[in-house]
Amino acid sequence: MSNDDVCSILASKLGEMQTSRKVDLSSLDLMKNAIAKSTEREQYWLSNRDIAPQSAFVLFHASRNSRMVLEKMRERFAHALEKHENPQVVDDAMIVFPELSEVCGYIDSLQGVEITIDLLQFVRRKVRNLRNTAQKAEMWPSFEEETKTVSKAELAKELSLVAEDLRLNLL
Amino acid sequence: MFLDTSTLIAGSIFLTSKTVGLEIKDVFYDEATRLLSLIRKNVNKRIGVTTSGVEDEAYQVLSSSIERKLKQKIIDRAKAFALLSVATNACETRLREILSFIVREPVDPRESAKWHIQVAIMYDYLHTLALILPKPAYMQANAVPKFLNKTEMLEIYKNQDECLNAQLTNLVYNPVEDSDKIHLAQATYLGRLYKETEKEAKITMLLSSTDHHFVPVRRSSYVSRQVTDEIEKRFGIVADKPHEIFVTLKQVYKE
Repeated sequence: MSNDDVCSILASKLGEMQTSRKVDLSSLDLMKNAIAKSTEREQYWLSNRDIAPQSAFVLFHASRNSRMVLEKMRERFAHALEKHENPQVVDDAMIVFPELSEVCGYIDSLQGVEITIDLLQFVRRKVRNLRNTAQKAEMWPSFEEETKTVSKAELAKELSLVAEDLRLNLL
Repeated sequence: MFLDTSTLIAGSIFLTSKTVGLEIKDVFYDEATRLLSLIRKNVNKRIGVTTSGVEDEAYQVLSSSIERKLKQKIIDRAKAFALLSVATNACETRLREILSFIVREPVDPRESAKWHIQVAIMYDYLHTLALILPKPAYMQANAVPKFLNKTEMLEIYKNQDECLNAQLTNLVYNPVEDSDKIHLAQATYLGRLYKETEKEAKITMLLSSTDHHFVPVRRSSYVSRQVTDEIEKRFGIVADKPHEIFVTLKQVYKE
């Protein structure tokens, strides 16, 4: 199944659920597929050595963020009934889905294309908008959830280096 | 008070660091964060203003700084990418939180463009001035009494000259970027607008920044402020570092 197919099937399933005002648990498998596709995207950009690491990172970051939105969405759908979030979770998913599928579409369209600075800036802005929308719709993991897979000590070290770099550049 | 990119970024980095338990002991971050806390406490007074241009630049500088790390040799790419992705999300989220209590003012592009030209003219003038700076150190050293060492005194006077002219000479070695001229033009436009609309009130537009082409250069006991003074004279903007602005505002709001 292509990436476009996964997105459009999930979009129509969300539309159906919004009309029926009921969570359909069969959507969990569709989300699982979409998460797998996003993970493939992440791996593609991670292993892409044909472009500059900074460019590969921006597209990896975009793929990772879309995957995290999908994972949060799936988690909320899976617990919607016990948490009495039916059909609120569907409405929340509908808020974030247009931007999510747009970002996924952009990332896919950039495979094998010359990546310019303007394109990267455009992707960064789209990713930022997606994160903001996902946070508002509660479709974004908490900081604790996001940092589960990374070492906090290493993150602190990276941040201190960034802070030093910024201090030198801004002063 | 108009907030420049550097103050916003410093605040976002400081807050993110706190989230991961990292304590940044640096005066640059500390000062910016204290100023932002004061603005947050007085959010109803709408004292902190910025423009969409500054916001965009803040995000850009932040991502460039994080991504610059990838120019170095990376041993474990998967780990580096994941860490930097988390850092990007965390810093940008904090920046967004900061921007939520700062007023984003709309700017009339035509009016702002007029001020942009005036700002460019001012920097051209100051740049020329920096190139023809007099060097009084030699004259002063020649005039010292005989019991003093002339060579030693020359070094002292040269150092004094350098410190007192640091803000001007900085313009020669670090040319002002166009984006910064635009920020000053926008701050001027907003300052004038506030003065026109609030005729009864005594309004002073402050500019919080760490850029030396705006704020005074302080070295030991010397302060070089030719550029800052010219900005105030021509545009009515008082530019200073976050700490000095914080002290001023603290007095005004009796914190």
